[in-house]
Amino acid sequence: MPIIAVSNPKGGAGKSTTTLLLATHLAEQGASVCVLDADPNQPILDWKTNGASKTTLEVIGGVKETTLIETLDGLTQQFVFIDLEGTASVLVSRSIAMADFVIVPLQASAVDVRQAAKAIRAVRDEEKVAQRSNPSRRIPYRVVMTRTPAPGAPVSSVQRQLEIEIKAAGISRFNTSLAERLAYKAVFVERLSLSEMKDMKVGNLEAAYQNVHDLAEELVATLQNLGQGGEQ
Amino acid sequence: MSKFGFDLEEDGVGKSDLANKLASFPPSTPRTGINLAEVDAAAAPHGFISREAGKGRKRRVVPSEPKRQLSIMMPVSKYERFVAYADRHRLTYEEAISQFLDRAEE
Repeated sequence: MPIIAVSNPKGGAGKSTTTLLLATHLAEQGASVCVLDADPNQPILDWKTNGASKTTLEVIGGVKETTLIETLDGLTQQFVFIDLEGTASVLVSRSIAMADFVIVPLQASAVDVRQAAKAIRAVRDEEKVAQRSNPSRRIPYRVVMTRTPAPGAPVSSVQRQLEIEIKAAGISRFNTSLAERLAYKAVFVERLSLSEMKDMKVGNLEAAYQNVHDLAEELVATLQNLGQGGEQ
Repeated sequence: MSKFGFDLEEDGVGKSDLANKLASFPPSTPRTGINLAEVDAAAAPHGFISREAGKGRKRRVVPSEPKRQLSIMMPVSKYERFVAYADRHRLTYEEAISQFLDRAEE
């Protein structure tokens, strides 16, 4: 059921990477998954249409402000991800308003954090609007730290400070971060899923796969706790 | 067996815990009760504006018939009433006068 918007008005925060890794992983685990590629550069549509992946993931491109609702209404997959453009637009805010859950990818940089704060304020305001017609409506969100150092590598002081501030501000975040890994770049280069690259020489694929698996598990557990998972 | 755990079996036995959890998620259903005007108004203060170019205003068709200037003196109250009517109905003054004539000759 969940419609998951992946949003940060800052470009390069890791929206498309987060979306594609989670969507392909859930599809490989047996879920029906669709990605609405609402990024003008259409990176996920390119991945799907110009690649040779055998994933069951469906990708719909060319989504616009005016076509978003009817596109969503026509979908019956268990999981729908909306990979949003790296700017503040009506398409982004409408997607947030339609979402059951918002993922805000975030790198440890001041620009990313300030733009992410904009997305979080928009989520909160859209939730208030939605509650006028449905008082029980919630648009929960979680920040996910992206391009973090791999486990064991030194963590920057900026990231440590950011983590402290996120906690102090009461902003919900995933415990799992997406580390900076060559395998995630290779996914877009080879236009394959992580598991489909298992016979290629890609740096530490096992750790990359485990990282995405951990994030996907945390996402699914979070959605179930929010009542999105049907009967449990 | 794959060292990455990629070789999941089709049946429940051997399926990962995640795969079993995913089975409980129902399909998507259409949204209802979304007021887009309210949605857009809430996001605008945060800088979320339309990035899609509109179609723009169509150029007015220039009639082939020659035109003449008409200048009318009238009391302020009637002038304001006429202008307000044209504004309210989004008519040019010429269109408003044409509309009055059409109605008068019905």
